[in-house]
Amino acid sequence: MEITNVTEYDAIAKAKLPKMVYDYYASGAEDQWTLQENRNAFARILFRPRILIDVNKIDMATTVLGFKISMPIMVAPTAFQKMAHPDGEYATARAASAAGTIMTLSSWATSSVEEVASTGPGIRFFQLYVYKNRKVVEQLVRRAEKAGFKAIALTVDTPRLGRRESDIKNRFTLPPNLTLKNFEGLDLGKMDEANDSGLASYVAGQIDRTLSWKDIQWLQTITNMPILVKGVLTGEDARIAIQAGAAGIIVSNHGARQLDYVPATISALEEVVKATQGRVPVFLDGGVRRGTDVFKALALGASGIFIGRPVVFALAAEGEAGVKKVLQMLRDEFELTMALSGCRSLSEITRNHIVTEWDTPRHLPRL
Amino acid sequence: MEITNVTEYDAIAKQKLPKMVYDYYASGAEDQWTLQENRNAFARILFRPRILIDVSKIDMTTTVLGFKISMPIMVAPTAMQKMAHPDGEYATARAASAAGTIMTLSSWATSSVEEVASTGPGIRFFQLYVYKNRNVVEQLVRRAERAGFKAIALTVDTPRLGRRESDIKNRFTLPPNLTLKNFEGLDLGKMDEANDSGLASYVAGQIDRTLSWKDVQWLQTITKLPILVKGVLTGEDARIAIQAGAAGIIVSNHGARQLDYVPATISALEEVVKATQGRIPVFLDGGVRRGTDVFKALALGASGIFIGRPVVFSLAAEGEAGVRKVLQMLRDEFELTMALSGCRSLKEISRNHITTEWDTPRPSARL
Repeated sequence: MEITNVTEYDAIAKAKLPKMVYDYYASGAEDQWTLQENRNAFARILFRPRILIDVNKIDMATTVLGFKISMPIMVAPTAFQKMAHPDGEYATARAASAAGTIMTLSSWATSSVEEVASTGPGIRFFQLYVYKNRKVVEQLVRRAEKAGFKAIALTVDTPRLGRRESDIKNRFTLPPNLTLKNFEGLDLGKMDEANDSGLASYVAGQIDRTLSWKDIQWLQTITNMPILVKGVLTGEDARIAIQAGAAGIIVSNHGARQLDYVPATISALEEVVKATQGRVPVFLDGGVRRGTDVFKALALGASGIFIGRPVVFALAAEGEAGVKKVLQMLRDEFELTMALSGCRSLSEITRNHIVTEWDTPRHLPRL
Repeated sequence: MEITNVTEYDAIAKQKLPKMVYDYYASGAEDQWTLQENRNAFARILFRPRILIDVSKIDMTTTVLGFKISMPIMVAPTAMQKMAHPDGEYATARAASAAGTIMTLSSWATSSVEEVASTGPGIRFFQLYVYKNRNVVEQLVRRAERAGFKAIALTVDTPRLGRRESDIKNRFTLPPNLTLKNFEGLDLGKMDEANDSGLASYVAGQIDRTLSWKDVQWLQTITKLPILVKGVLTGEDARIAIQAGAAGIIVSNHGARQLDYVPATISALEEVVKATQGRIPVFLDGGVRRGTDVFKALALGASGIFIGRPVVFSLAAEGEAGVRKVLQMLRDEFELTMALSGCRSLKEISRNHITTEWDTPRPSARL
């Protein structure tokens, strides 16, 4: 049957992929409360559509860190995409380019920064995990820069890996035919089997738990790329991030895979936006599955959103064509949402176009 | 088994109708959140019944735009009624007349304004979609006026058609034996099959996305009929509608078929009522399935309500007799609700006869 929304790829991926692989992509941490809440919180935000506005022309184009893209929908970093489909990150990179939007490549990709760059032109960001061995980090950041990546998305919510219980039960590990290509030849490209999630052991062994704000300054000494701090959930940290020189903030709970019972990202967004006072752009990932969700995030002040699991599931189902379809469906839904809300460009999307449960008095207009 | 409430016709219609037809009538947009919420929100409004009032005589009559009707329950426009039953709009028109209430005929009816007028006397409104070809609109409005229709219900929430995913999956199109009779001979009476919902393609091709407030003024230059603006969900737009010369407002989310995650109409009603400050009447459609729902809408300030799906489903089940029964059941339930609440006429229904979740402090009276 025809796919009519991005969520439908989840079931197809589940049927197609080995259980260990599907569970790795699908799981959240512990009780998975935040995993569900990332979706549920969107459903509690409602529209206040404006009528009788000429919406014949809708402009979804925007600029992110100076780069013009076709829509405020971008691809989040997700690890090990060749587990989902043999074309892996190549397919995702091509689909994102074709859609005129940004792909973020994971440090833990199964294709290297150079390989992804070889797919052709495209605006790409590089997601960075900081390893204990800083020489490795330095080399990697330089390689990304040389390969034409435009920004670093620094993951700051993973000093240790969250407890994804199915990964523990499945003894998840990277399939032996695959390699973390960015670390090939560095003894960090393979993942041992462990009496645990193999990834949790890998992170415990390699990733730097001492990572702190001063390292953001260090990072700026080794690269000219702008740094997006990915994993901010409070206004306090948003303010510190600006002081530390961040070029932008990604409100993220890591797809609900790190600390369970953090709020949905859409619930945390407005606090972060208010704290930044417009000084750096704020982005969001987590739970975006509809064009209506994109609109809600923008109405709450986001400059754009990233999608993770829908890309991986579509990749598993249909490779590059699947990822293209996901980006196209979200684009079409978002355009329709703008039209039915009476907004012709992103700048016309305002806080008054939505109402949230924390607005008081709840049902009265804000005048 | 005997039908004891209007909702029971839904299951009967589902059994009787081809899947494509039932799905067309039943579906909401995308996740259908608003479709459920249109019902759920009524269930969260509770009564504060007054006792020991002589309720031996209950008067439900009211006046809408100067026309006296037997009860504040009217028939909403629903498209293509001959898909539900061969008698289609003829049956609905006769049933509404017999009940002494108003029928609103859809632009997309499978019977023309003249055919519906030929069924005999009755107060009827005409629902208008504005086509790109304004000559078509002008002709149609004049024909409706000449056929004795008393008001225009201008649909303003459909610059594009909402994504009803079962219509997309079913490749919904008007069955070839039927015609949009108001456009017969105009090349607009048939619906092509499309690689999508056929209706979505029809709307994209024919309906004017540039529709704006100035067109409400244009409409007043081509007709003397009063104009109800159908699809208002905010106080802001209610105020503009008054300035633009609307004779009334219909708080509607198009049966939850346009933008998903707009509030239930019963949740949006009070904001609109307050904004109009009594200058024009406010009506509601969406989710009314019980006489208690009618009462709740009136207590929140509506001058009357419209029912859509219950008419179509009862039409499918039993033709004219079914529609009559639906109107009679709602009338009886509403009369009983008035009696058990201690209200003898519509003007005795007050805000204090109900309590909503947005009242503070919630369970105590506003004195």
